[in-house]
Amino acid sequence: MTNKVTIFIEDLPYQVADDINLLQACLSLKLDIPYFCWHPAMGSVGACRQCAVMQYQDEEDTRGRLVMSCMTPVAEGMRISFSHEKAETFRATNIEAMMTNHPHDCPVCEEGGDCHLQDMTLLTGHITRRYPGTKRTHNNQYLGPFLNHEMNRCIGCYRCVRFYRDYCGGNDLNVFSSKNNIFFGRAEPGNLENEFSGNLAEVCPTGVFTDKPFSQHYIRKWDLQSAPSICTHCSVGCNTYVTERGGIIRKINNRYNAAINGHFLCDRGRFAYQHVNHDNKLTQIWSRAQQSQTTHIFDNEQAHSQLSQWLNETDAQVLGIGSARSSLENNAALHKLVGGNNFYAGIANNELKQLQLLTKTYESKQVALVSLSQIEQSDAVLLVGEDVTQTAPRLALSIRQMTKNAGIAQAAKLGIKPWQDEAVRNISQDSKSPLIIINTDETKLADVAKYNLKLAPNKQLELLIEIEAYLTSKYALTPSAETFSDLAIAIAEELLAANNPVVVTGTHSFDIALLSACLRLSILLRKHKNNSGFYCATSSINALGLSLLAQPDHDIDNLIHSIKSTPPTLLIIMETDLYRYCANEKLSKYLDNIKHIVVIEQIMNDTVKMADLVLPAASFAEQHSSWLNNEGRLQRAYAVMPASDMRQTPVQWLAQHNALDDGQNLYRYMQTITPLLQPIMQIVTTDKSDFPVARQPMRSSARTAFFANIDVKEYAPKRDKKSNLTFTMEGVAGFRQQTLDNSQHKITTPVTGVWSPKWNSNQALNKDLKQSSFQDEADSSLGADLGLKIFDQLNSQEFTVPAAQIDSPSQQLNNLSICPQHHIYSNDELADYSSSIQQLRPEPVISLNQQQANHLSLKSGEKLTISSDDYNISLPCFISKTLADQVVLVPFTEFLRLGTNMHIATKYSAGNANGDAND
Amino acid sequence: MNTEKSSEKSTYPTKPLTRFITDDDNCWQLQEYQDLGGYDGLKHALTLSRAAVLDEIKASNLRGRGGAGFPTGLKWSFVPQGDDAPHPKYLIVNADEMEPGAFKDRLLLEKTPHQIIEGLLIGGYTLDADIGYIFIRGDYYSAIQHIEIALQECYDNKLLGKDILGSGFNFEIHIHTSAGRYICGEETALINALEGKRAIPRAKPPFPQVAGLWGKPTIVNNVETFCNLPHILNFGADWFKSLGRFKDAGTKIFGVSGRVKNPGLWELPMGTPIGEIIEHYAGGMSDGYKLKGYLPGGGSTDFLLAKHFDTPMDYDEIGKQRSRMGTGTIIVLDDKYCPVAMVLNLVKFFAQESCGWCTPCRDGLPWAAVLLEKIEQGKGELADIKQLEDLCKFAAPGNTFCALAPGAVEPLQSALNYFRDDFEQHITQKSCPYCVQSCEQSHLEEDHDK
Repeated sequence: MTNKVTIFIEDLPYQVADDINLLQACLSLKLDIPYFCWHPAMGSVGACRQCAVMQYQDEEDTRGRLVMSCMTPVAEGMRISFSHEKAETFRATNIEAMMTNHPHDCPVCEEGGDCHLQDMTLLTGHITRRYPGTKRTHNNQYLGPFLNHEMNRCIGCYRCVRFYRDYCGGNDLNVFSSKNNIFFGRAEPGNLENEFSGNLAEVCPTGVFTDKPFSQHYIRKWDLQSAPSICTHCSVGCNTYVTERGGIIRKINNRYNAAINGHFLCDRGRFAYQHVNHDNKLTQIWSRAQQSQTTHIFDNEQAHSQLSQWLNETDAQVLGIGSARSSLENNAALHKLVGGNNFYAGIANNELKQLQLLTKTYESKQVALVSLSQIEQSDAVLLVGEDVTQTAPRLALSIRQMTKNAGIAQAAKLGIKPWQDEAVRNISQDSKSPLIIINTDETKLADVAKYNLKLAPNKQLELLIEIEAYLTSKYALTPSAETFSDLAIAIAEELLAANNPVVVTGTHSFDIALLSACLRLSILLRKHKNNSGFYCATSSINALGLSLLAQPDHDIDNLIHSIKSTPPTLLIIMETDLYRYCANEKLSKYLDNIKHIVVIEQIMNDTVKMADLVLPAASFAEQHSSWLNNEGRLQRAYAVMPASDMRQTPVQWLAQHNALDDGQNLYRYMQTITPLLQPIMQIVTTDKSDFPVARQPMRSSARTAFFANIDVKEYAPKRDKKSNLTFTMEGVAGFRQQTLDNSQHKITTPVTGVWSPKWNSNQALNKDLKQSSFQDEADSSLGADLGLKIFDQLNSQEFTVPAAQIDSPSQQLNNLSICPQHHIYSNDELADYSSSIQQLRPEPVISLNQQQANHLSLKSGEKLTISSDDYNISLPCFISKTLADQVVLVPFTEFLRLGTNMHIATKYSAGNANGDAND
Repeated sequence: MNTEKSSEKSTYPTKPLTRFITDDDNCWQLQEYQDLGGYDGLKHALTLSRAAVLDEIKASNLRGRGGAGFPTGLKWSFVPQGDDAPHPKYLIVNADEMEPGAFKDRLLLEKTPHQIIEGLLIGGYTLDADIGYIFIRGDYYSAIQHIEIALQECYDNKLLGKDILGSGFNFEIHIHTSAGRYICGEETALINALEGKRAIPRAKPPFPQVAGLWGKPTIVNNVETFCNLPHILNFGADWFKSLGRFKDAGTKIFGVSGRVKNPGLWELPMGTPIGEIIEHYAGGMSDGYKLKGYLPGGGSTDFLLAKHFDTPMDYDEIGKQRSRMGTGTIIVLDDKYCPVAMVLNLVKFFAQESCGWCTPCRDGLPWAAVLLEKIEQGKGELADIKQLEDLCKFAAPGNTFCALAPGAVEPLQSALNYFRDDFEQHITQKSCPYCVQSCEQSHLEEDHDK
């Protein structure tokens, strides 16, 4: 546990936490100690030597000795001097030595103004160059669509390889050569394979790795406006800073949240924003003239009168489709308009079922929902039925960190602290906390897993039920006579041996039996292990939130069923591309039968093309919104820019018609739909403060005249009526808020960026991080607002998770299961519009193992056809060496469209009755 | 080479390390080695308790011969002992001799492989270790061959493997040939290299004694250190202490290179005065050359001068003269070789051999090399000398991650002290006073001719 100790800096006493290093302690005291290689998440290695200070034995000691503060644990009574001449000279020479090879290219470097090296150079006082030699040069590499590489700028801090290899488990970036010729890159140019590569742009203290999409619309940091936001590309809900200039999102930066993403985002989260800038984004109101093929642009008034007319038709029957990628506010507004009975969640039936099972279990409080940071601190994880490296990558990164805890514990026995990174690794070597993966195919966590079980879904289920039975029997008064497989016993004992084991699963298998088995196992485990936790990744950022609003069985499958039999007069589709869920021809036929279709959408897609009225919706970056992530954490995101052109939020589009303004009434209405959303008022009302807060940093230099080619006048900035953030630099500078004591000044508005005096790069954050190396969720006064966990605030409800049937409802065809194959760059709908992500999308294939291929007489690359009632796909097959037997993987998006009733047609027997396929 | 062919245990040798070495190219096989009294030390050790052997080693005051002179017994006492101790424990012979000017380990490696194996076995028994590695410089080709043969002989004769000599003690030895980096001589970098990682020194703590190779307790010692063990066990700690002429115990292989009449290696008592080694054993300077200075312990030690000739070759005594005993292999600088060129050559070597981990070494040494080159070419300025002094302070012990850079600047900082005139002359005269044209090149050619 963290205690305080007193240390003396320049003979003045300071209180600091006792489990951190001297560097971190000094930074938390707001002292400007320069450093490069240390990183709060990656610990200390003592490579750069920049953080040197003088340490003295006692008061008598006048000589002292130079120590690296990052490598020195704090201790009671420790005496140090930062400003001693010897330390100052050493630090100045050190940075001068680093700069011997660093080019003087700041004016053309994208890191300029956002560069830790610039800050540290100024801080250290190295101004005049004495080195007379030439600089060494390197060839740069192509590293894929996300990152630029400029090795000449490298100062050799080793952070990139430590992050990429040691922290993320990547192996295609390394350090090559030696002496001052060290080269950080790949063996050969090519795409960086790790899904966290984008963080290198933030991890690198200078401009070696820079954000490549950013460089395509580059703007200096001081010209950007920035607002706190939530990543909307998976269900984890990572915190981001979205930055903007001139209506274009420029880049996404990590926003530190101790409970969720910490310091790192995944590449999908970082680079998927380009749909907001996309050419095909909707900015106008389009109306299709009745009985004609022509479309017109409407103005606001026309649109509303049209909508009003359709809503108020006699015998009007209005159905609405809510969206898992739209905010709680937007869904609630639609819910109010159409009524709960007519509100359908824009997700598949089996997913909604899974989500509502989760909600009921969470309400019963029989499982403890853990955050990513709690997973990182746990000591065993059972990961079932979900390739989280593809569906919720940031979660996978946390699980990877969990495996390091055995080594950290081992090091602790030798008195080595967790932050002594290199020492911990040398001691722990291959010892890892157990990660048990049960999945259909090998995942990218395989390298750190103790068990890598590749099983067909029904086998997975059998194993879980067996583990459950073993646990029941073990703790029963009279143990059952049943015998259990060694594997089941081993896994169960692995979980029981841990202090806080976590069961992690996801809804992406669409297998409700598997999910309930996971829940039951987790409930049982918690009875014996009080600290055990549960985490379930869901499909979209707001999937869980949407499921709270929808009535059971109000999902896309049922909606289609319903419109097939009785078409409504008006269908309002909000931010859902129905064609993702349903076969084209069938869906188009049903939609044709509907009199009026209104689509509220951000971007052109097939569903929009079917609309009679298109209302352009504001993107996540243009609205203040609330999101409920998969652990039931309510989080608030802020608009970074005003909505462009005719775009409005769905809340605004519907406000005239549902008698809700988008103020308090909307939130009150939300509370009436489900008591689970009671706490929403807390995150909405904390918005208010007495200060307006600027999205732009203070103008301490000449700002680029953005439209100077058109007009040198500056236009009046738009006003943000919905929050206290301003679209200017007026108000309390959001960036500078962190230098104030928030509690004293009653500033509750979120910080719009990271800044500290003299620290202009994102490293400024490290001057505001809390002192303890273990972030305590309850103690969250600084920096990021951690959000509100809604299930924590409840009284528990009675609920029993139904026992899973062995006969799994997944797609079994003569013991063959068709399962979805997930990929980080092809799973998410909006991420698909991002050109950098498109470049990394895999070719769609159907995967199966050699045995299945033999069984179906298939060779690698030959086409395999899979059909459902009204949809079929025909894709080349890929013979996987790692895939479980009796499993066929189809791309996730195709899997969605195939629906439930799938069958395989072999190349020889397509269309014919076949014993293997058409049962 | 002075040889002492004595199989009688009663005759106490005065040159134990080389007592098995003959003047011809012979390398004793197991049988001959045993006939001469080889493995007696091991046999004696196996009759004692582990603690008793360690006490004997401690009592002998043996100090590590790799350069730092850390007391071996003390180092070994940090290794966890007893039933709870982690296993396997490792012992590593550091035979990666790459220090400029050092060639003393090579002699022992080529000529007395069994002596090394015996030392390793004694160490293994003392520390209850399981596996030994001989991490050897890849260029020492014949040494590698000799050791491989010796190891096989030992396995064939129950001197290695299970139940050694019926004592119940098990020990394996592997030989690992280094891919060739100077930094591998740093014990933790050596461990990393042995694990297949980049040869970068490790952070301490944890020290290798507690968590070294593959996270297990590990001792790394120099070849010469291990070679002393059989004799300490055989003839006793008191005998060993009596060998030294000054404070330090035992003998050491000293060497001299440079323009002396008789360059070579001699096993001499610790504490032999420097002057005696250079004047007597190396025969003094070659005709026509005068001694300008010398590096007493290899390329990474500070220069000393003729006025220090009375200093005994003892770790602490050399330390008092602000240099280091190092490997005990003296490099002599004569009056016709440019000291700037010599220092430049050394600094270039060390800059080249930097692992690239910490800034003062990676970026500081090449910077110093650039300045020295500038001065040597007659393009220097007086301010460059100040810069060089700053860089020496910059790479001082404690400022860097390991001892490479502090060692690398030792010849430089002492040259700036003792031969400052030469540096200044280069600058004021705008050329090297030792030769008119491309100085370094001609010196290199000269060296080749020799």
